[in-house]
Amino acid sequence: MPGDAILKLRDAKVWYPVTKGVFRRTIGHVKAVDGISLDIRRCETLGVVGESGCGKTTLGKAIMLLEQITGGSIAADMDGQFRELSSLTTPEKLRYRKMVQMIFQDPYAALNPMKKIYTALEEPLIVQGIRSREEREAILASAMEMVNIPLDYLFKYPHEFSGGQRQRICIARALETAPSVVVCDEAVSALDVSIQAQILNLLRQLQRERHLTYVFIAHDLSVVQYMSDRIAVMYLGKVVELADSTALYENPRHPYTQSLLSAVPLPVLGRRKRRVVLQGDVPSPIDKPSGCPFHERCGKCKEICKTVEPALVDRGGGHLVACHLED
Amino acid sequence: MSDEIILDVKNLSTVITTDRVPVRIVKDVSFQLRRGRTLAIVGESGCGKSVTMQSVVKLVSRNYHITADHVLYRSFRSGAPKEYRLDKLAPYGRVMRSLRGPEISMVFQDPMMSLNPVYKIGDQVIEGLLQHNPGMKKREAWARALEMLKKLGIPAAEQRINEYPHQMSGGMKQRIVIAIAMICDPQIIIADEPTTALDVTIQSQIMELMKQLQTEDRKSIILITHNMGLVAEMADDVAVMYMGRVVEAGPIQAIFENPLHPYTQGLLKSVPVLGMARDKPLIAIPGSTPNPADLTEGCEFAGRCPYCEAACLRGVIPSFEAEPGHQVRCLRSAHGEVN
Repeated sequence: MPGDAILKLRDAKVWYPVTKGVFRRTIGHVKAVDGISLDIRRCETLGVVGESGCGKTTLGKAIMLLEQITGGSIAADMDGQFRELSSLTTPEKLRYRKMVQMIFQDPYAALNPMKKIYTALEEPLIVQGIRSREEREAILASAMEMVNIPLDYLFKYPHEFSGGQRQRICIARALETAPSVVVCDEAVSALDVSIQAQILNLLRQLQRERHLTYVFIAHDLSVVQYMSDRIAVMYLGKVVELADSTALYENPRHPYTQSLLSAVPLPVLGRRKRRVVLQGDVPSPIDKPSGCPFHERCGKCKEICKTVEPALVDRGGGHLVACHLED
Repeated sequence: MSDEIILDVKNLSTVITTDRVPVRIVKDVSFQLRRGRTLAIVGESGCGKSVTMQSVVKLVSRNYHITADHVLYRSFRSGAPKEYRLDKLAPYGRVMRSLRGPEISMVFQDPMMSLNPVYKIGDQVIEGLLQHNPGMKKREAWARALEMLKKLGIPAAEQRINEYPHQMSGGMKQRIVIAIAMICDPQIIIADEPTTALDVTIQSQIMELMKQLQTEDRKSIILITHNMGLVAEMADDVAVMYMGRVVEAGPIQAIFENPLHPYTQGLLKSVPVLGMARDKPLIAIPGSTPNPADLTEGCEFAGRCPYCEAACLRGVIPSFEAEPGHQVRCLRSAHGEVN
């Protein structure tokens, strides 16, 4: 199913300056995304997991052009040729945004409470320059049908819907411009467990029907593992492990991935496994530890880990790990 | 040995009146908590699990109307057990206030919200101690607080005790909240979604900590959660709630190995489990949770239940004992149909 690359990230960085004093002197940077290189392949689901503050949302925003990258490059396949996002002209950016859409975490905050669903769903089509009202309404109707919401609900306000319905509306809004890439940023974490499954099934069904590429960002490992073809594990702005979803679950190789996986409580009796309980918290992304960013919390830390930062290297079969223990 | 019942709740109901409309939020809830054990109360948001616990400890506002056959708390603190009828006590009376803290204590969901940003950590931890031990010197209380922080594994406790909440991470704040709950050495800890706001790695730290406190001091824990994974790891007994009712209750093995209520079955099947096959679609529970004000008669789950029959829409569905200690509120269990 996964094919050639549709988005290429090369050493992409998003650094926010930290300023001090009246002259706003820059005293450091929050390295939210600190050098990420990966390809997002056509029709695949790339899962991105990590703890809060590891930069996974910033990565999603950088792909969406909602955040300027401060280093490296992100290139997208636009009509057969790779274009760097920073070099796009304004009309090209509009075309890029038609191609890449986003589903946000909180369906309560993502819809304007003062506007009817019709207005919320119509807006992207107006922005994309669809002038004729008939044409817009035809697209709206098919989008509503796609997410199983009756058509007359278009004239209701967001507060009249349940959380699950709102998320369906957000999905309809994201998909009506017929994008090829959808960034799902914690798309189900605000929903109740019984609703979560409905939305996950809908997302998978739409992917099959419309050949979508998902960047599935979430902190819930069980959900990511279920949804993704490949998973990138992030820690402090870096990808520490990137592998096929099954391989990552069955054979996690980075110590951080191992402890993350072992921390997930399983709803199965008698599988209380041995825990790799991590000590301490994620260090601040302003003054990161030298060497491997994980070495302070790692149980297998060696001398080299404290000084030399490990590179993300293919350790066979497309399983990329950034760890000195693999050398 | 640890099968003494420390908290016995029988037919607890809570009606909350908003805009002059009374809505039954908790309906005839009964459960028993055994000493030194963990009872998990599972359910989705709005199912009444938090209101149930607030009604037990009477942390309620004026528009709550609570009725119960009995809410019995048995204190094993000194020698012979002493019994309190919590349902008979005034919510903010002297006896109830003396129980909240030293006997029954709570850990709330969001550590960012339950700490006061303008007081030092130490002052917030000792507040309960000073309240319940008149005559205790502040210095002595401070020493006790420091001891507690060390016990909870807070690094550099001497320094941390003088800091303010904003200087700490989420996991650290939740430890402080646990310290506040533990400082008066309570018998029961009610933990209301204690790790929902935290990352999984921090969650496992906090859960290990609670287990350790439980085995050391024989605490009883009521864990309110929607995470079936946490339940499997922590609980001895489970009560599943839906729309204000306990729909299924029993020992953990019964609930996980032989779930009988369609809602419990749905909850267990609809969550992706780490390592499950990716080509298999999840079995979702159809529909969405109804508005509690709209429910008048019949089974609360009827509108979403795949096995719904005409009889399910009438009256109150009674609870059946499927096997010893395993109660199910479903007519299918009365017919003897299994799965």
